[in-house]
Amino acid sequence: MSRVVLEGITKRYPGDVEAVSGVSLVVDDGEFVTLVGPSGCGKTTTLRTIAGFEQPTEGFVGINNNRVNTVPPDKRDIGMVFQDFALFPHKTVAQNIGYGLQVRGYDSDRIDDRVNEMLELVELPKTRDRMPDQLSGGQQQRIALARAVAPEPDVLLLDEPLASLDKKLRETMQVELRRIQRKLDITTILVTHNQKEALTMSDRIVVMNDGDFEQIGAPEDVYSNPATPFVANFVGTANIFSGTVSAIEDGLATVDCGQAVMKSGDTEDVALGDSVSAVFRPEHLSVDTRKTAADGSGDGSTVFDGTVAVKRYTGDQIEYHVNTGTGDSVIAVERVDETNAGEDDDIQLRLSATDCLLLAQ
Amino acid sequence: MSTEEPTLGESIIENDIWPRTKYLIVSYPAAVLALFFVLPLLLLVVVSTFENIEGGFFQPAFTFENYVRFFGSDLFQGRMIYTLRVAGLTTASCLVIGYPLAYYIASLDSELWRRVYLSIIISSLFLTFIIRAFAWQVLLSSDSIVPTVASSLGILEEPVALVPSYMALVVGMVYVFLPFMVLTLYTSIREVDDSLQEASRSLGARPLTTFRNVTLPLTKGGIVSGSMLVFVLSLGVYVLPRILGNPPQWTLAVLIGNQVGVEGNIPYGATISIVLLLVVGAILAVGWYLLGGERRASI
Amino acid sequence: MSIADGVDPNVRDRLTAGIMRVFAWVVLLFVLMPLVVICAMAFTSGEFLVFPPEGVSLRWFGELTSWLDAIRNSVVVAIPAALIATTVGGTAAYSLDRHDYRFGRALAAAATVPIMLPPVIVGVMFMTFFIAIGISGNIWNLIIAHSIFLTPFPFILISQGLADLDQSYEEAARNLGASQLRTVRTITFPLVRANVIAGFLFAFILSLNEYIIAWLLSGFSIQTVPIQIFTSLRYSYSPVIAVISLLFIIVTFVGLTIADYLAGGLWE
Repeated sequence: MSRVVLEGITKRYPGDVEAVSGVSLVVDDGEFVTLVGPSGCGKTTTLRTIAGFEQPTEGFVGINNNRVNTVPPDKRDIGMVFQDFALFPHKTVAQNIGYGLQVRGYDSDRIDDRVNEMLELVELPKTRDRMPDQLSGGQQQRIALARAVAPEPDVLLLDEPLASLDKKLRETMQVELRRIQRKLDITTILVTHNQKEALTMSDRIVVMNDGDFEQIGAPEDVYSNPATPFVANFVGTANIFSGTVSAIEDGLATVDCGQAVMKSGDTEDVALGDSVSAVFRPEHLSVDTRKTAADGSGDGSTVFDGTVAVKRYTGDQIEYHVNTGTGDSVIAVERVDETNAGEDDDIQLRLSATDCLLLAQ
Repeated sequence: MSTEEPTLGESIIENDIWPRTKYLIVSYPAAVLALFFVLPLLLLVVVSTFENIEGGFFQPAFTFENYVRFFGSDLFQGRMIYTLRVAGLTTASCLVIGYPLAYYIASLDSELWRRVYLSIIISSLFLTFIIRAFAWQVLLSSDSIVPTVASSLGILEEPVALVPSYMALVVGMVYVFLPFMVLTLYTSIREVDDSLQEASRSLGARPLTTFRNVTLPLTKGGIVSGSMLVFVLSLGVYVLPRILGNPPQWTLAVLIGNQVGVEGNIPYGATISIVLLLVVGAILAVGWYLLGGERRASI
Repeated sequence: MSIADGVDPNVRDRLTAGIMRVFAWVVLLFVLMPLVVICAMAFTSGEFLVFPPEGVSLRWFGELTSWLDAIRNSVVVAIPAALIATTVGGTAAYSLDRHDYRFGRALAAAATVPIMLPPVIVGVMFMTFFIAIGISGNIWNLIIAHSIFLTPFPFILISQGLADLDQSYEEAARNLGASQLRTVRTITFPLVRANVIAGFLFAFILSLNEYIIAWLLSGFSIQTVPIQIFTSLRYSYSPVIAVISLLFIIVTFVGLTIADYLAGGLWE
């Protein structure tokens, strides 16, 4: 059993700076949880607190139902992969991987076997006797991982492990990391600022902002049902308009957002006069060049008429930034072979009421 | 917000030795330095107020008679001014000789040659003062090459020992401290961005003007640091004036050594030491201010 | 309009560069001259210390036997002094790098200032101290004085090494199960070893070469090489002095070159 529990963790620094504000979380045995958030949100501090390099000002860290606040980092049986890998420059790859085993007093045969096993796991058997500075970034990353899991720790922590890799390598490693984690079935907590990474790799994600956990949930849930405007904006792209609820009728709310009037089917917990953020994703907008648009505003859709200010082609999709005269551009996305409007073209975007979420501001 | 309901059991109480290590490890150097540096330094100040006893001992007495003696005596006062003058002359000479040298080395394109020149300069630093002083003494003694050459060139009437003498002292001092000046200046000159000089040149300024308006001001930090370094070192050096100069040419540092080592008057030696320390401190303070001003002005 | 303006700029530039080069060579000759003198003296066949030497011979090398005691004394002082300086400087550097203390700045000052004081004053200071506590004329007086005087070198060098060292190496080691002590032994120390050795060598060489503190503290009972050189200069003035100087120069040069190499070339 290797559950990780955070109970009301707060980390305060001199000068009343609160890096982490009373957060709680349970990570189950074998689960892969990602802490995701912008720089400075406290995610690395939280991770380091679990590892034992920071002491929480308040709250408890628990591993397997035991409070470990007073346990020093070398006794916590946690493996950690550091952002800059931190491979010991004066030791070979094999010595690096074997370090944790040596410390535990294993005999050299056992260490050798385990080192070879780890090298097989990360698919780098030939690097055994090389020095870290002879490895590429991706290789160093994998060796760092091998080193961390060689002593069979209960928990694996990863601090922005893919940050210094280029895009292609990052995507390959995302798959690799997940594969290895599944194979070892080890409780894992990863920290990143890259929301795509969080979405693709995790069983659950924790969206963190300014010291707080804004939302915890499975990737699909967090994406489709963001709890706050921040989460909506940070995970995936979102269009957000602020306004007041001007009418609620037959399961349809009307929100007056200045120059745009939104229709939303999300009427739970919404009352007349509430200040809300209307949130919708680019892929939920249907795109038409105005000439072919039918006039169907009676069905509860919100319609935006405007011109294409910027068109971005990303290979598999086209992204339109549409100037609708409502202040901010509305961002819409479609697959490549659909409408294919050009910049400065007139365009109409339609949003169905079910795809418009209303969130408290 | 989080909807988790964790339940944690008992703490594993492990020995948290962190706070203890923190003070444990620093206790060794702190104790040694407190006992064998801070304490003796304070003692020096205190002893300067003590009474002298023949044979190199002293007895507690809180008196300022040593300071009175020092400041009242023409000999010592004059000597302090003399010491400052020698240090000043050494510093100025080192600056005048050292700056062009540092500039030349810094402007060389070949890294190999730069390293060669620097190595020669650095290795001379490693020679103990005594050996360097000794070498100059040999060079300048009556049968040696310098007086011989000088006499045949007509500069001297006959080959006479040029050492000990004031000139020998200054030459020796400049020789010994020049590397300090050159290395400090070199670092500072190297830091001046080449592109600034190029920009100045491309705007039409001649090399001398560029030097005056761009390079020189930007290396002011190095000039101040180098000068302070040489000045302070010159104030405190014992061996060079002692070997290369006659007793009238001995600096305060030599007098301190004499008072303590030969005359056995420790309290008085302590007094002069404190005075010299204060002078050194004042110089450092001035230098620090000048350097700080540099930083303030450059913002 | 000055005379200089009448000359073609290219020629003027080359002329300036040429003058500078000559000037540089003159100064460097000036710097090297004493070395040449001492070398020449060491190999002279004559009786006196004059330059140029009268002839070449190795006879004065044979006279070194009278210097063996001095050499032994110098080494007996320098090794413990350098060891103490390195341990004090090293532990101070490590503590200050890893932790915050209220007295942190004071400690750093105490570890840096000794070398900045005029050595003669340092000598007087320790003399006073040892007389006050009633132990004088002991070789340990000199060892301790040198240790403190030279502590700044290992302190500054090791501080630099630790500052350059990424904290994450040690965290990784601790994470893998190594205790604080084990981490220092297997990770921290190997990675700053060069600075530690360089610091030790600097302290050792400087102790060997130091005159005035040695003279004030033990000059009457224990003679180190610099003290004996000084005495010889006043009384015997024979070329043996040049021989011992030359040997010292070689040792110093070798030692400091190694130290400089280890410390990573501090000057560029």
